[in-house]
Amino acid sequence: MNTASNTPRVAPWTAWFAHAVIGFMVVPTLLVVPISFNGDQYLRFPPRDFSLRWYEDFWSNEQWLHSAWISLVTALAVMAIATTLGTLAALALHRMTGASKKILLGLMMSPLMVPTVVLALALYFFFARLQMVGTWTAVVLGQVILAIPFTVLNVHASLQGYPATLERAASSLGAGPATTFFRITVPIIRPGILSGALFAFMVSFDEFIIALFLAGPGETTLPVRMWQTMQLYISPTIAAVSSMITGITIAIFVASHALRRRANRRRFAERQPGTSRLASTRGHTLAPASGRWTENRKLMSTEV
Amino acid sequence: MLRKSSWLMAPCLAYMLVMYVTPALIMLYSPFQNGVGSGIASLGEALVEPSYQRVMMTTFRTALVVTVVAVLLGYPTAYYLSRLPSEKVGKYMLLIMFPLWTSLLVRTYAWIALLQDAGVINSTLMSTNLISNPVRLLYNSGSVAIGMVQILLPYAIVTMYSVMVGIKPRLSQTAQVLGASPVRAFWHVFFPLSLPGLSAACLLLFIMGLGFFVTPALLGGRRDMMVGTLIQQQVVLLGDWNSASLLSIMLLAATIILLFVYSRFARLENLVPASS
Repeated sequence: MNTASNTPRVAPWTAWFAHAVIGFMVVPTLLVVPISFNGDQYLRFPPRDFSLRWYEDFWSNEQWLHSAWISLVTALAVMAIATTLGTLAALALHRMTGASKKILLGLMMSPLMVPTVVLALALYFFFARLQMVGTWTAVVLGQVILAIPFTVLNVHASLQGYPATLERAASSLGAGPATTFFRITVPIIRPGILSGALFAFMVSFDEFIIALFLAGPGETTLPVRMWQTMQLYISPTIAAVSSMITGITIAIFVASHALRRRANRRRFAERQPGTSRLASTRGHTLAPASGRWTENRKLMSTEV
Repeated sequence: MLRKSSWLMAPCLAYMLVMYVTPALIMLYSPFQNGVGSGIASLGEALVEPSYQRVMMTTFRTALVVTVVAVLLGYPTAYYLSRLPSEKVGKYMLLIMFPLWTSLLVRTYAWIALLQDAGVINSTLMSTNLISNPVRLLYNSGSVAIGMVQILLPYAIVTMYSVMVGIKPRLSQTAQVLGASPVRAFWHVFFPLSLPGLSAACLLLFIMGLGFFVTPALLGGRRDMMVGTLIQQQVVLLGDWNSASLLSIMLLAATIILLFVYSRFARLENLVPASS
């Protein structure tokens, strides 16, 4: 607690308490990793003998591999559709004002507050009428609804402070709408598009309830396969799968964090007088510092 | 430029109308397709159906308990973070965000691995001879609450933190310079100013708690069934679409009413701290 003298002092128990709470949030999930290297049939802790048998079990099992593949393809498809729709919508929203903007933004954000079970049921009814329950397409189309809020929000945030005069300047200098879009607008909102796409991917890769309602037996995604296995018995193979998913998640987490740090640094560097040439060609100085807590947007994933 | 760009909204809006609004309307309409009267009658029957009432009570009770526990745990944590110098908060925030990035099923599986009879806690306790038989930690309302609290804590902490970080440390210091004890300064200066964050967190958590599906289904016993699980069972196992949509309407109504209350004293956009 002996920080700089101008910061207020908090009672020591608060610090202990906060560390305990954060530990409660993080540690149980990480315990899966040592468990996955357990050679025993039972989930002993600490593990008695080191073994990779549960990883072998995953990599030699057609069903698990197929599910991983389905999850990956689904997430990529959801990401592509949601990013396209969300980016265009955010561009339009940015220029709107008043009640219409409020209503449209509310509509785009509402899937986050509707219980996912209710949304999944509604989609089930809908796709049942179209004879599409049990198809891969239905899962993708449904998950896009959950991903759109993230892409809209991220692009919308990166448009804050974006001056419309730039586009007018470009067109007055003879650039067509397409040139203006790709040479002026896209570079400015690129960080927002990228993080929106990343969130869309993660939302779909994690998504479970819509996939459970709509996926057929041939399109079992990884979370649904985990769920089905967990209903039968607590296989340590799931610990191996969980460890790999967590590892990949941490890697993406760290990478996106590093990317954003670099982007912020570059943006800061461009504010220095000597580098104005770079800034004017790339237009990065015009993009706002897109917030320190971009991760927070993941907060809105309410599927629980 | 201003007028021309609004067509960019069209693809997304069309998508939302077809894939989101239409399905919702179909679901809301389905109990009423044999006439409004019979729809209202069946909704009334569903409201007094004892088995549904029990599940609804469990749902509300569970949501309430986890909200209280998560806020009690989250408030001091958010307070501690809000009093840290800003360069130190970053790494704590990364840790708080970490659970949100990890797969929900992975986190639930981790709790099963910890709490089950042959799990980490029981086998550790038995190997140290503290207990001779495994303690039943899983498949009861306690394990459901533990799992849900862990999932909800990040939302609680970030919601309260975003309000607390705006409360200037100087205010509490001034109170203390003027003779208030640290405890008195906290309760009379800091706490009242943090109430908007506290109430927003309570409502947000309660709304989210009502809709839980995975955690109660995997960590709870038969008696801990929440409405989300019941809806899924009605459709997938029993094929009873009508009951499923009635239950969904009840859950949705509760959510909308609470969201309306929430919007009275906090802006809905505040649910997304990043956009500020």
